[in-house]
Amino acid sequence: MRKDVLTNLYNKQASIIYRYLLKHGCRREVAEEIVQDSFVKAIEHFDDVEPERLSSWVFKVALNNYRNYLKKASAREELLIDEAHFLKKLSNDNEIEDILLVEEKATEIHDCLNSLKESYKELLILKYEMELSYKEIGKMLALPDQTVKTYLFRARTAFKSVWRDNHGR
Amino acid sequence: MGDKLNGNELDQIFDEDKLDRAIKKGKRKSTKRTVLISLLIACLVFVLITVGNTTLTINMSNKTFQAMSAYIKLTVPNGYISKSVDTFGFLGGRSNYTISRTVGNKPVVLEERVQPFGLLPQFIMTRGQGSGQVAGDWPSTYWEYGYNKMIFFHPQITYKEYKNDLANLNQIGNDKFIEVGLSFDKPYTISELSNILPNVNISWYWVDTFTKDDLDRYEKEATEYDAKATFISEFDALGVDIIPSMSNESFGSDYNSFLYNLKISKNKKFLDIFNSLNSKGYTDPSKVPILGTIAYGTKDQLESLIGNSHIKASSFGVITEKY
Repeated sequence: MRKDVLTNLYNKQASIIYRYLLKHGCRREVAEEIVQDSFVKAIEHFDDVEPERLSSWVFKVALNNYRNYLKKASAREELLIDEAHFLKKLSNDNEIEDILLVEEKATEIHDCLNSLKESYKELLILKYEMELSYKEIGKMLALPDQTVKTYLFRARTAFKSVWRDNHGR
Repeated sequence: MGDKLNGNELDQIFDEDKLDRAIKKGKRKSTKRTVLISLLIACLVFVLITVGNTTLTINMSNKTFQAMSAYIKLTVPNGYISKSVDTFGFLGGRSNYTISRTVGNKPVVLEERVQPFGLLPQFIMTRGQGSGQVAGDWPSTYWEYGYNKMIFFHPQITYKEYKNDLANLNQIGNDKFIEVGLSFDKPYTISELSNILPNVNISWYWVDTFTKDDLDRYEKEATEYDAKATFISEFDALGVDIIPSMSNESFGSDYNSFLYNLKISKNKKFLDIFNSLNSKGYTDPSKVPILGTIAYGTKDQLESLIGNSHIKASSFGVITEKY
């Protein structure tokens, strides 16, 4: 086990995962514990996981831990995102320009995101709410940058379609 | 709540100290996991080896029993393995077996033996003490449980002296069941014997399995050795066990069982005998030369044998309580 690899991973990933969990309504102390536990698990299985997948592996473990926590606590996931900020960032990508016009309906973004499939929702939050780069997202999901771009395009299209269905435009 | 965190705050939450703690805990868990997996694999390997070993040993035990059973049936006239207890070890084991003989309807335990089997060599140490021999008398050989071993005399050999135990029959009480090994004056076929030995219970027929070399050797011994030192032991006299109460009618099938035992014995001597009997045309039970028998009964029942001119020699075997 190489400590420099772990330190690097911990420095970069721990805070991203922590923030991601907070965005999903996780309490700070719970998120902190989940992140810490996920790294313990990563260290435990360090030799079994390919180094390039370690990042996404920890992320997946954290998400599973969070889901298990929600199930145990009989709680529901609650998106805590800055809607206006999210829309603004999203609209910077030109195929969404018409959404800008309905900024007053920003509060309904939750509904739209929640009706998308999990992977699209995940991608949109990582990109437009947390403002991670394609490279960072790629690392989190173990995908090449180009694939991240393609998936994000599909996610945006899906979002637009749901938005239109909900608002008639 | 949530995202209103700045970089410093995040750095404080996930600092070097926490990483070190995670590393320690992770390593501890990893070690535990490795130990647990190793233990599970060790258990699995142990179970697999045990199952494999048991299967293999049972197989070897069965084969050993089969060969041993054939060997005992051949070398102990009218004898059989009455009990066999196998102890399994690694890639083999040990078979403790009991040799018995049925005298009339009464089973008599003659001896207990140990036979190791398996892929690994085993060393067995046996300790025991025997009795001496009286000079100038017939050698007394006994089974482990004290019963006499019978001796026989080949009709084609001229011995200096023949054993005649029937002469001592009147010294035995009426409450005994007696087994006596009889050697004939010449070979007879099974059909001839019914006239020669009427009204006598027979448990075994001695078959001529000797080669010319054997006879030459016996002849030489009979000429050169002392009078009471030459004879054929039970061990060397091979024959056909008769299933009680079936008498002569079953000789054919009993003879075939005898041939079968020779064939499966995996013993060179017996295989040679099997081939020689075949080549002499003794596959037909009615043509087989019979050199002697084991007869059994009470003193009264055996008295009719005294003075029978076809009987050259007689030797007591098991003498047991009738009841």
